[in-house]
Amino acid sequence: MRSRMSADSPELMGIGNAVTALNNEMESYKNILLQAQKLTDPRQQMTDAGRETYNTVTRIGKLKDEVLKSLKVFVDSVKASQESGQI
Amino acid sequence: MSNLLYSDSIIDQTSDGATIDINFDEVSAMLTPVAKKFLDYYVRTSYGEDVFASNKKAIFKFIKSIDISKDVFSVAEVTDALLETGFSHPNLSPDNLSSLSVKGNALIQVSRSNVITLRIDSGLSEEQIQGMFPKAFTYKEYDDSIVFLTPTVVKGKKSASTRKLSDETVVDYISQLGIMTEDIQGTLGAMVDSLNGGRAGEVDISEVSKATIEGVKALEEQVTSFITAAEVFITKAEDALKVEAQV
Repeated sequence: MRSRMSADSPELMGIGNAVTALNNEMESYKNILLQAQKLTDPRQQMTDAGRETYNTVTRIGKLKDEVLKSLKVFVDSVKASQESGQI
Repeated sequence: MSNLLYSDSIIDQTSDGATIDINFDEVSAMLTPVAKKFLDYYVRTSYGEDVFASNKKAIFKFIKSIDISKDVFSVAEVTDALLETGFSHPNLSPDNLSSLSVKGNALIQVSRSNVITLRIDSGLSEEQIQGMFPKAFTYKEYDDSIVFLTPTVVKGKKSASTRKLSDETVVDYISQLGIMTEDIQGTLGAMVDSLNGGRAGEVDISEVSKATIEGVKALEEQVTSFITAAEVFITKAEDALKVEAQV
């Protein structure tokens, strides 16, 4: 049977939000790297990119954990639906 | 999703002289993951965005001259393709190929600060790769097709001057992190597409679930590699700044 999930399903929204948050962080970091690449002084490049990399690593680690948590919620929900015959 | 490298177009001419627009996003979309990584890494890490900008035609010729549907390239075809492009750079030009060498199945570019091996034809072991070089190098496999080799720093032995930063070192690190960032975004983008399909009712939830689990699995590996590379970069940044402060 083909299943349907509503657009406001909390499980899908949860993992979607977690994935989007991580993607936004990566996009922001990519822009930081691009800015650093434009600097002509290697010392300044290293300082700027190094500091932002340090900050980013901490945030990415947390966001990755959020993705894992929301994945668990999502998978549990799918399993529960399958067991109850809804899917 | 935006692409650092190909977000531009160039004008090319067909054999009968007609002018055509070529969009690098479209070209990039045709590449296999291995080909894309190779081109991203080769162009950006080795030469940087500025050089890329001034060599767009050569790079596009390079792309056109290789079979972009392939997952494995021979060293000969890459070298020949490169030579035909007219690619110019002080450290690597058709007239100065001593900085580009081929050993075994690996295409190697030697820079002042490090050695980058592009292992196009896979199958070499870490020991075989290490054995190609006269002194110790730190081996780091980026994926099946690309290997980084950087000089191993002997703690307490290096003078401050030899550990000072060069343009190339910083560009290499930043480029590597940029490529890894884009890889993660690629995985995230695929996950978002799948989830959106599920939300719209266009994709079966079991398929969404499967794609999501696979995406997260890939993501875990990519993020772990990214964090490792980022921590190395942070350490290098701290070391370099300490050294420069002492000089």
